[in-house]
Amino acid sequence: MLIISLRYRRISFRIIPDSFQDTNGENEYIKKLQRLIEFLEKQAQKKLDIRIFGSQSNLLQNDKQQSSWTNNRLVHFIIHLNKGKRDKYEWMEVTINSYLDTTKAFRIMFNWLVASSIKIEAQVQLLQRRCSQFNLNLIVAPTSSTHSAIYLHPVSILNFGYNNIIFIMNDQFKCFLNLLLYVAGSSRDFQSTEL
Amino acid sequence: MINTLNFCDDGKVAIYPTDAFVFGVKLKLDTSHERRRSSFNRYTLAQQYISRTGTLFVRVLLDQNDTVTFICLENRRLIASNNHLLLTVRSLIAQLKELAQSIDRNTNSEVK
Repeated sequence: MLIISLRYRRISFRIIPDSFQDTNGENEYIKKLQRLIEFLEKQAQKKLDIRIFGSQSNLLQNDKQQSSWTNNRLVHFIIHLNKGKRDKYEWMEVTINSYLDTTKAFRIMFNWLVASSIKIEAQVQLLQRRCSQFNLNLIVAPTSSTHSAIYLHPVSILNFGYNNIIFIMNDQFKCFLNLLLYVAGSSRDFQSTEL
Repeated sequence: MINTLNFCDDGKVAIYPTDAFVFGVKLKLDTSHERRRSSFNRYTLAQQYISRTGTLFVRVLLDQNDTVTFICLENRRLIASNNHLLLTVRSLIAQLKELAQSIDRNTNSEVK
């Protein structure tokens, strides 16, 4: 799984729910979503544990509020993009919501580090074609992240406060910090940091 | 917003107090969702709404002084150079402001 603080390439989509008036419209929308999940499971080559909740589901409102944090959890899976044995190894990560509410937008994110743009574009077009086939409203959206600064170097991010001082330290301090991290058993290397 | 302006719920997004301070908002930190790892990584979750046209995102930030700030984010990736979508966004923002002002008249609060 790609860590959120890495500077990987990413593209984000949303599926906007239909504005239905009755339960029939909602059931139709759920059927479309189920077809989309089947497609995603085929891509992932494994069962994705995504729950669908509509207005008629048995989930109580209190349970919904209690699990509001867990609803924001995401499901990650890898798509291997190399087709033949002679192709170089390329892969991308797809991140989707673990919870599908008929009143909420559904997030789909493509993240990649080692993949050519042609193959990513093919995957994007495949998703767009499937959504238009299932009559779902897919839009491209700006990326949101739980990290405040996503444009950081891919290898040198530490999550205990060094991010802010890394830009002001000199070479001597960098060597000292490397030594300190080596003693502490960390595998991170500060030499590769862009200053 | 959902009923009158045809928006839908887009879940929660992480907001850092330092980022919100740019808009002059001192975030009300929700202790249940607050990340306590360090002062750098402390963030809170803000509700986000998306227009059904897909052109506008609205984040709702709660201030420590019990004021509410709406941050409107245009979906530039979707709008690109489409003038029709650009006009849609502008009208949505105007409608949102009108909605806030109509609430303001009922509650005697101030809209900036």
